[in-house]
Amino acid sequence: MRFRDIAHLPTRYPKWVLFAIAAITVSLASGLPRLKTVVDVDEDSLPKADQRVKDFLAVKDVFGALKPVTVVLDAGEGRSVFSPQQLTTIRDLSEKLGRQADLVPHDVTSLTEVSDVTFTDGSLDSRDVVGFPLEAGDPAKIYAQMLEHPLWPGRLFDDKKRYTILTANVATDASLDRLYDDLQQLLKAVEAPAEAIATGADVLPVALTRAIDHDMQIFVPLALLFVIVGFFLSFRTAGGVLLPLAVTVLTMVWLLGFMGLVGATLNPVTTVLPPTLIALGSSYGIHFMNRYYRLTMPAGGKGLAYETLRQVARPLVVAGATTALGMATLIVFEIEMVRSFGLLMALGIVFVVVLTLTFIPAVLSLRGSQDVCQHARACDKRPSFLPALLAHLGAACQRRARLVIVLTLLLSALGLVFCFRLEVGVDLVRYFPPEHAQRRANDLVSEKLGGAASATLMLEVDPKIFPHGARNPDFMAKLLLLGERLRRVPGVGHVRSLADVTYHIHRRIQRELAKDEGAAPKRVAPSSSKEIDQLLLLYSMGAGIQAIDDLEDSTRRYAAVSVALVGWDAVAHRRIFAAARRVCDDVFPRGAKLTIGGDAVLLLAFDHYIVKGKLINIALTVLVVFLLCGLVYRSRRYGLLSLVPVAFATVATFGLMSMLGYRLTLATVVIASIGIGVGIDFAVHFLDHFREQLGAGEELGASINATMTGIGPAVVYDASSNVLGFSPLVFSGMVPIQHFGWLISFCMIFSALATLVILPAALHLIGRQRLAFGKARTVASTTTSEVLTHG
Amino acid sequence: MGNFKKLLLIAVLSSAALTSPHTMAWAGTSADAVMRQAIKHLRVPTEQSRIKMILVNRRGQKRTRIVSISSSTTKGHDRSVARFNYPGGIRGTALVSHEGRDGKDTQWLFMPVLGRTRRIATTQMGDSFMGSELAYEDIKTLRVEDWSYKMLRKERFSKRPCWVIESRPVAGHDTSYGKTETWIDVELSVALKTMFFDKEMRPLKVVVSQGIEQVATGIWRARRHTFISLRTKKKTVMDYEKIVINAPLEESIFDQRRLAQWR
Repeated sequence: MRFRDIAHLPTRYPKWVLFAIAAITVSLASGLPRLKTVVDVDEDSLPKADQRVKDFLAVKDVFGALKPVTVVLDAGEGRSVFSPQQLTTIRDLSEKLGRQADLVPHDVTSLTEVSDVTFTDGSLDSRDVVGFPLEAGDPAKIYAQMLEHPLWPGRLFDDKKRYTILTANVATDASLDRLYDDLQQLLKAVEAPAEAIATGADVLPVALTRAIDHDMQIFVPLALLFVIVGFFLSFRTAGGVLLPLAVTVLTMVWLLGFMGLVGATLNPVTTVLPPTLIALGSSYGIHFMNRYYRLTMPAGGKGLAYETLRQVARPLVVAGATTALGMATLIVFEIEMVRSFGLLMALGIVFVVVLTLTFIPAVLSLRGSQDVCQHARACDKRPSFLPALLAHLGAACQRRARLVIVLTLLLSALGLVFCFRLEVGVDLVRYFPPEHAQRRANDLVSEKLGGAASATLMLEVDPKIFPHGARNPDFMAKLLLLGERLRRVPGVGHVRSLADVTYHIHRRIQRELAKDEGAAPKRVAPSSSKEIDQLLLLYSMGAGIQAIDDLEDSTRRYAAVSVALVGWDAVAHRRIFAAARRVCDDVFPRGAKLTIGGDAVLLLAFDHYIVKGKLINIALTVLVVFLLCGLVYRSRRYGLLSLVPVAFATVATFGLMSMLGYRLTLATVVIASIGIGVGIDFAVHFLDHFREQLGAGEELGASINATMTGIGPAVVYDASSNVLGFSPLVFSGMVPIQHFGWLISFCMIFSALATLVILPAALHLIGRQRLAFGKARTVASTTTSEVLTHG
Repeated sequence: MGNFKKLLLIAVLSSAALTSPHTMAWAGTSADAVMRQAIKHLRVPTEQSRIKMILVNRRGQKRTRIVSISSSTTKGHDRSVARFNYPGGIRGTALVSHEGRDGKDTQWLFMPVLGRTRRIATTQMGDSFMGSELAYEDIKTLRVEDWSYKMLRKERFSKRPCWVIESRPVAGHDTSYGKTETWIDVELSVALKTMFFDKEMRPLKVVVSQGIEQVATGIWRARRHTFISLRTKKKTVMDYEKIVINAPLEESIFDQRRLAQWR
């Protein structure tokens, strides 16, 4: 069966085609209820061979990867968390957290739950520092005692005593959704002016998931509403609105249903799929309907639908193929979420093209020509403002062709300069706007309580150098020194190791022994591994064995230094880790091998793959577009010309992104693919139409003018529809999605402008001679279309 | 720190491990009567044991401690002494515990690094005992009147016929548990399994007892108790390497002033 026969199917057997579409829609729609939202930015999303991932897993293997829930309590302006009222609140919250079903029972760290080794009248006391009922003067004593501890000031409470944190570990079989809801409910009970906010590695994704679900409820109806308005303004007919709209809706049902059936999920990247599909789906429908209305055929119905299909099939398929391949190039990313977005988007484009070329002609075949008449009446009433404007623009661009090209080059150079300043950074917290509770809680922990991001420095101890491993007194002394030096590294917040508590308890005992003997403390450091064993046994009596397990493995071969980092800036983290390695090499020239793990390391890996993937992706997209267009037009020159608008738009968009201070993140990283994939459509339609004119024997200037007035309005409608389709994203509850909405809208505008300004100028400068071609097929087909086309 | 005498008892008793050899004597009676009988059989005059306590964290890593415990019950009051044998670094550490007339414990700890024996403050009830899956609450003396019991059903566990008894705290009793359910071997009157539930009646942890054997006339003990947290998946295995019942014990071993003499 030839292509022509296949193209005939929707118009020859419209009912069967519609029946088949309905059957496929029903089948795929069955997957919609299974579609889930999952936010899981973890090591599974990254290549296992990556050294940072290997390090992360090595540390996780020894010390686990606990995801504590952190509750930040703000006592209020001018108030202290060491007041009896706040301490009681903290105790009550701690008890409730300890009983929460999805948290590890009785595993809460808070002001009222920490214990210390002290001596009272010669008696050993390893109980909680805060005892109830509180008596007058107790809060002051408690504060004084806590200030002496090496790990609590600046972590458990800030220097103004206004903020404190409570932490609890999430149970292995926890329902994170239930936990999130329970925590919100539990924290409501905190009486104003105090306020408590829960955050943490297991809370953030749920908050993000809720934001995504909320976005979806807004995006889809709003995007549909906006494109309906766009369709109406473009065509002012029922068919002009309903048919592209139906294609858009069907595409969404097909793709989202397919995702549900195959188990693909919505995440911070794929959440932009629905509005993107609406925007793209509308483009294809607009081009089809634009051509349909521009043809005149008295009989209307089947003949007109078939002729439209015959004329638009090639540019639509080429545009679809370039867009889909552009999206598919996202597969070069080594981040799973981005890869799956690319593949799903490519599939979505295939669905759009298939539905545009089957559903619309099938329906039009069943309708009479009343729609065309309606459109003609609407057009009669409408001033031909846009074509006239575009004609002027085309003429101006040709007159000032050199100026246009020089300005384009200058702007591109400026854009490139800004591109190199573009910041990269996966920061889940920065997904939320500044006023969001998650953002505030994390900022508070970063600024006041020792840092929210975490890293674990794992030291593998060489028993030949340090007998008894991590319990060796020399090793312990160096570990203490390492911690002290790490605290001096800018950007490092709270640092914790077993050396801190070992020395702390040792000092307490030495002070007590000196008191017994009436002399000054003798030794400043534990002198044997046996002594350290006993000190840590004492520590575990109050703090529990888990407190030791978190910082030393049971074989004592590995010791951990837990480092909290102030802020989430990946660039700063990279610098901190480099400094940490230098400090470690200095303190341990031999005898201990350093491996850095923790969430901050994973974020660095994400950053690396975003930059690496982005560069490869852009290069690959450009290559694919060039090859495909070059192949279709059988011309390198046309292949390169098709790239001009998208290249300019991409540079301009990333330059703008850099100027606005937007980061390249998981969400914004896909802009280039979408931008090139969609923007290339404008160039393909423009060049296709231009070649038709040229092939029909028109002069260069006339061909450009005819293209500007013929295809220009469709490009403007298409870009407007895309901007309208993407515009709901700016109302997202997630900052990078808002950025994505703005940037992709600008990218569409840049692409359309570049198509309608740079291409006419470039074509004019290249000249008819170099642009001429002689393909009989094209000439023949355009001759037919010429007869059928207005103007 | 907890009372090691109680630890020994609770390893069997808090999980309602019953030791009556005369099952038929209480068969058909109330669950309340069963518990009274069980506690009576647990209170032996003296008991010595050597326990290997293996703490398995959520990553499967193990820390082993070996403790020798001697306990005595005189006039209804418990005294115990625990000595740490392993690991070598803490060898010589000893803890003695005396139950006062008010039911409260007084404890003393000797540790070489401390220089002398120190009295230690009472530990919080809900805390984990020595980092194990036992809470201090678990090793407090079980008072029959603090709980109400209900015979739920009869079913097989570990191929043995068992009674399943539910224990719920009576009003006013301070506990973190909502209830417990215990599988008691019908023939041996020994608990084979106990489920602990939180206040919201969600499963919290489970203890399974294995290697039940008669260690003295009419006295039955499990050789192994495995406590598993159903939330954290952490585990504590208590292997009783030696159990001696009613052997004479010197009073001096419970004297806190003599703890330092033992190495």
